[in-house]
Amino acid sequence: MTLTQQLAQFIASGIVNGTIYALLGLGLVAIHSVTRVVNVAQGEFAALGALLASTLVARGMPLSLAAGVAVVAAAAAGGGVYRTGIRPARDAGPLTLLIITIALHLALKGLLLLVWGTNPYGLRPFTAGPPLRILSAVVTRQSLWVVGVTAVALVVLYLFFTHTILGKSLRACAVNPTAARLMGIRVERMSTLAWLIAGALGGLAGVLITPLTLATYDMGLILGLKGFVGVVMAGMSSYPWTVGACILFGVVESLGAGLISSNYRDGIAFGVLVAALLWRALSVLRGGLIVSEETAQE
Amino acid sequence: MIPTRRARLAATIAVVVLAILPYAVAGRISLSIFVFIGLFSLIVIGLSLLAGHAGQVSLGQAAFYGLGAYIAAISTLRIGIPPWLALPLAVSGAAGVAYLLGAPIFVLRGHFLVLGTLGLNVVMDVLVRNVQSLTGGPTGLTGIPPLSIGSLMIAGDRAYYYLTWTFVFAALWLGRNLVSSRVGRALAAVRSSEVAAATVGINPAFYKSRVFAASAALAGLAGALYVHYLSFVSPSPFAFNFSIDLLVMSVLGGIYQLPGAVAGTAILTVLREALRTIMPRVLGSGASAEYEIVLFGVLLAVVIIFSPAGVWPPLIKVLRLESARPRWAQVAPVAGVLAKSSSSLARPEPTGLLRVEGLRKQFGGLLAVDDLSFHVQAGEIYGIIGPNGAGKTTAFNLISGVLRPTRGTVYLRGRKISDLPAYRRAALGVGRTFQTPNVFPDLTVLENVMVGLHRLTTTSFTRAMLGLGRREDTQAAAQAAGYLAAVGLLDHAGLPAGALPFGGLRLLELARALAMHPIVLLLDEPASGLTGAERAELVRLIRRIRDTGTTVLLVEHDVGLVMEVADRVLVLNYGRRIAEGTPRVVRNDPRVIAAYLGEEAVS
Repeated sequence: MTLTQQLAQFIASGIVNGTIYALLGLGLVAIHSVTRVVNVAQGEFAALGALLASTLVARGMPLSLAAGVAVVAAAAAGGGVYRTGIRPARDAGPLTLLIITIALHLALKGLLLLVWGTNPYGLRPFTAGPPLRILSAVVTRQSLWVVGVTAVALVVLYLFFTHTILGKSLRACAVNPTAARLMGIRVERMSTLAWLIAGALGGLAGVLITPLTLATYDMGLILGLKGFVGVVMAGMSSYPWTVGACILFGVVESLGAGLISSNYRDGIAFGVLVAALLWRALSVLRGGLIVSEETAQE
Repeated sequence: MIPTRRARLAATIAVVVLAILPYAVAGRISLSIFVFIGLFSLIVIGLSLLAGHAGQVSLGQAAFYGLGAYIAAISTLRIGIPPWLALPLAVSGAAGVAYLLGAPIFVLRGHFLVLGTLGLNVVMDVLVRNVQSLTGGPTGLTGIPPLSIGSLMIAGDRAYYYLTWTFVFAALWLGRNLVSSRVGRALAAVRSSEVAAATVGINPAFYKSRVFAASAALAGLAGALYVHYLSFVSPSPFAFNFSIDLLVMSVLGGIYQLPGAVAGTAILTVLREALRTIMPRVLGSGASAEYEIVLFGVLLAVVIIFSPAGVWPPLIKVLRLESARPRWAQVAPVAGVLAKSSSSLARPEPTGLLRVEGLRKQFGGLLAVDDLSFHVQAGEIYGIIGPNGAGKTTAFNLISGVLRPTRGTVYLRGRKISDLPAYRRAALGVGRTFQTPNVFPDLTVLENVMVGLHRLTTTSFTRAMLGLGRREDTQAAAQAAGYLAAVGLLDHAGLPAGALPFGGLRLLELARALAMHPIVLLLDEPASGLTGAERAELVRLIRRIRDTGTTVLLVEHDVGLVMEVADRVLVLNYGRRIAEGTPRVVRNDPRVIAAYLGEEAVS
């Protein structure tokens, strides 16, 4: 392979990975914007979706139905986690809530381990057939499924947020929960909805990626964290920027791993995270700003 | 915090029990589990200091533990540095990396340290596994020499047991000194409100990065002790998962009291050992110890939901070991306390003490302050009034540095201050109070005022840890008591500030601002929410503050009060200045009447 071909290949696989991170990142943004929780357990929704879909298909369920069941189950897990773990402590500080999500991550991972054990599970690609050639990159059909399904999910999400009362209420809660409450929006219900959406997006990510990698009980953490890198790069609030940042992050990670060594893949990924944080901090320092506008207006 | 006699007794018993433990358990239980509880306690003490007192969470303490371990291993094995020298090298290496990472990250507010440390942990793990020539890769390094001082070799369980626990008690002592010092109060202030802390001259990032470096130093120390103890190092104990374990230990014990760190570590470590022996028996030998994570997760969730402060506070309540809060030995005379800033009167300022030029602040499409210019003379009481939304509070935020202006300049004594952060402006003499009182509720009323004295006291981070700031603290407490007497709050000095009624909060905030010896004091609606008697007292107090040489800027909705005390009054409407002058001139200005009563009232 020539260098150009290699680069095209790395970029293509980076885009696919980045798309998966974006699904997780969007869930994180939905949760954070409405409930101000940084959810460490986000990746567990993906692991649940992946393992459940694999098992159901192995038992003979049609793929599309199994995928649907897995996404619904992951959404239910999201809502359930919020109701049992987060809501009882919702008035606590961000630190407490963060630690609760770490606890939820451990508990969910443990439950997955109890049910599925340590073995990896596979899922056959959604459509069979040889890989396709796009420009100079060789792309598997499943990769196209990943990007395509995610694109559809994004459009649905966009329409939901801009064209439905429920979606607009959710955005209102994110901007100003107090004002939303005064307008008669049930913030409590919207918080549950945000967690349901995050769960569903996580589950979807898990189902999509399993044919490419494999599903294990402990696959969640690193996926969720990588989604989080994109979220931070995009500034923790914007949905479209999060998608862009996650895809960019996927490409950088893939290029780094491909050009340097795949042993360093995670090191490069999280090195990028640290660098992005330092870069943001230094640009704030140059501005001389010590107290942010957001907190000053509280 | 001052330990009671009971607490001292309990600490002594703990030391004695730990001292005889190796002989008590000899031949029955391996000492190594107690060595590990000690090593992990060192890390968790640092983590609790960071989480409970600096309000920041690290998910990378395992990385600093590993950094210390590998620095010690590599420097003794590959470079041939004597082990006793490797120890400080490991400690300073870990602290140095933490400082370089923390100092910039703490400039970003919020919980970005979680991400930064998590990233560091993963990067560290990947590097250690892959830079094989240096670290030995996944298999690690063996044959690391034990610690030795001269011909005295420190080897074996018992020696490391005593060494480690000596360090644990030293860390507890240093940590306790720090928490109950000037630095500890500054940390408590930053934890409850960075904005309020900055306006009394505390730089939040400065202290947070030092606490973070200290916590990493403890982790590095534990790492170095670990490799000399086992004479072997491999990457797996330092992976990200262990950072989570450490956090669980710290939360379980309770992050607000340092001995809780030891309790949490002991509980979790013993529990894990127990599970490793019990689990295979219950679930069959195939059942791996990994099942413990379910239990850890549930345990952590239950503890944090039902007892967010961990197991330590209920424990000391049962044992009645609560410590006392600091008292004041004497009350500095009020006259002396309030007269100290009079030096500012001696220097007349030709262009005004405080000068604002072309100040503008835009929030999205809203112009909150629009090309505002004014100057205030030394020794004046300068009132700013205007209808709701006129931009009065925004102007205060721009002058005190809580907000950055979109454009325009603020000069204090001819020096441009509008590009300085809030804590530097406070240091130069800009004091303020807030519209909604912004006191530090975790601290006592007295301690709140002592935080106001932050810039005028000097105990450094290191001196505070060594307990060398006590004399200065005694003086500061006396002075603070003087300010409390001046505002009439001395009777409540020992109460938690959060327990004061609303009027009391306003007065406390005022006392705290006065303690800074400000050149110019910005009072944001000091009269709102006060009773009639309190309001009269306030008028008297404002005059007295001015008489001691502090220039006062007053934003107030109570126009009557402003007209009563102010020398000159500025009237704002929609962010613009519509009138300025003596109360009598302003009162009769038709534009002012129109702004307050509507156009019709004028015509």
